[in-house]
Amino acid sequence: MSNKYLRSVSIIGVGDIRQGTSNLDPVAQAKSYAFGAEQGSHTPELEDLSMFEMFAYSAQEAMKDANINPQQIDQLVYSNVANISSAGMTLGCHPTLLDWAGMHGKASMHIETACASSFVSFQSAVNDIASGRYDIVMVASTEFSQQAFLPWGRADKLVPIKENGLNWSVAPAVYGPAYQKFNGGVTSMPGTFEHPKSYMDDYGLSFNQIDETLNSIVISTRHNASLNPKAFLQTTYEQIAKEAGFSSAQEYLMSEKHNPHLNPYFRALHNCPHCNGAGAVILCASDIAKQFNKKPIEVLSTGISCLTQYNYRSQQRMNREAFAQAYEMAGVRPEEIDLLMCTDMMASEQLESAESCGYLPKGEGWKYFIDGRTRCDGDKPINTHGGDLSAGHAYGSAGMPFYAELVRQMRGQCGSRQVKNLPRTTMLRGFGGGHTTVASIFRTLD
Amino acid sequence: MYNGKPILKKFYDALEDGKLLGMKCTECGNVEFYPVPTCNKCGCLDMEWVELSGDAIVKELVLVNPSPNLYGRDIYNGHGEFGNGVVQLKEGPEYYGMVVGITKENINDYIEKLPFAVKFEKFKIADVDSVAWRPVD
Repeated sequence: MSNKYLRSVSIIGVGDIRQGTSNLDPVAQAKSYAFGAEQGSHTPELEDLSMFEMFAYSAQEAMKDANINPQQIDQLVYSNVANISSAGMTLGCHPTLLDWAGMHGKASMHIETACASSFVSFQSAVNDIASGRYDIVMVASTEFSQQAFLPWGRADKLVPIKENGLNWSVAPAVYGPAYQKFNGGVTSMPGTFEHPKSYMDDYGLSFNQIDETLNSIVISTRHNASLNPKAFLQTTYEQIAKEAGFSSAQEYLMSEKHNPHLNPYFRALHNCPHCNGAGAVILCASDIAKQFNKKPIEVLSTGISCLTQYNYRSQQRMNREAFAQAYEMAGVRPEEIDLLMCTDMMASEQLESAESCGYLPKGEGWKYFIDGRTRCDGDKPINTHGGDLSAGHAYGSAGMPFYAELVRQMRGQCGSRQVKNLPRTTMLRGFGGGHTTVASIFRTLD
Repeated sequence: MYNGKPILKKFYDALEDGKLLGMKCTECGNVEFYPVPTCNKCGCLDMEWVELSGDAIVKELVLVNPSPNLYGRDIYNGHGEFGNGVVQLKEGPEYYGMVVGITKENINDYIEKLPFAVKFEKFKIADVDSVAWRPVD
């Protein structure tokens, strides 16, 4: 089903806040290969901020970007995974968030589809405008993935979620492991191997080649993040390697001490750091978009596919379906894509998605990563903001940095990480556990 | 535009010191309580902190006799019954507020006196200082 929108919809404003947490060490977390991991580092900009401040900052930044008064916005579509457990056991907090955004009494809803929540919320908002029901909708989210405030406690007093008796799980909690069959889920590393193994099977790569490829993805993405002041982790692997006494980033990332294998295919740092985040996107009918922002970005299409995570190559199957829908609906060909943005909770998602949507040639994409061609200064840029791998992954807010970045890239606002040729057409592939895959194509509105 | 500095922490810390804070719109003068960084009256993104007088009136009132097991623990720390009132602050905002000093013996007297004046005081809910209102008389 790839019916076109009944009317055109465009993005007129984006906002986000630096992602991070007050204490989270990505290596320790990845080693534990599960949510609610050991923690360590610190993001000073977020000190003493609750989910409400992070939400409000992002929403206001998007409003300012769109040059819009919040009371002109018809609806808030809010996404969040964790507030039942990380925000004081709160149910239905979206009307409260309306007040923080100056939208008291407006329509609002809360969408949860695991880490695809913000991508699905975006689709819902686009549909609401395309149908004619609303003219202007804000998609926004805030997520505290690793910290919580306790029921009846101060909302600014955060504790690790483990202290609230919590631990995240996408897979086993659905039914329990006996019924569901064993599968570690999307970011539970020991159980996840389908991307690299199937790629090796299909194209004959060695373990060393796939290892070098995944490390290269991590290195390039961190390079991009080093140029993004809103990224969670900004220190390049070249610098980290040098400080640890290694001659190169690749050598550092092949060290079992610093980047241990979690299964034969994946190492710890091939996984993303989980963090807190927030963001907002303001959408409106394209025929009024330029009243607000002179550089609207049109949403040409959205494809979506959902599959349980029981089955081998489920992510590949969803990618094929979602990309096909998006291309057919938009009437766009793969060679027209100038920039690819792609959920990369695991490094291998970049490889699979780039080849699946035709951005990189099948069976050859791994060489592009090793050659650094997917960096923001390369000829095939991917995740120029740092992706989940370095900008950080904030569950129900995970899509927001992707929307903000693609809009800023298409407007030419990204400074030192701006891609060489101003992108006119961008593909975004969002993904979340369960599983859900959303593919959207964007084009600068003429 | 909101600068991204802590709001809840500043509010809670002030409350512990016995001060009641709100935020005031720099455009239209609307006061938001509880404090939020965007004006819900005119949509302005620029708000400033304001210390509230602690003076208010109660416009509607019911008696609440909370079950100690309602939330799995007695968050009212053995306080027992109190009033739930529509409280309008002197600065304008109106909201549901806790009115202490209301009992089943005096509730009807206070209902007859509506609206009546109240003054802000701290009240501990669970382990956190919260906002309550006590009749002035």
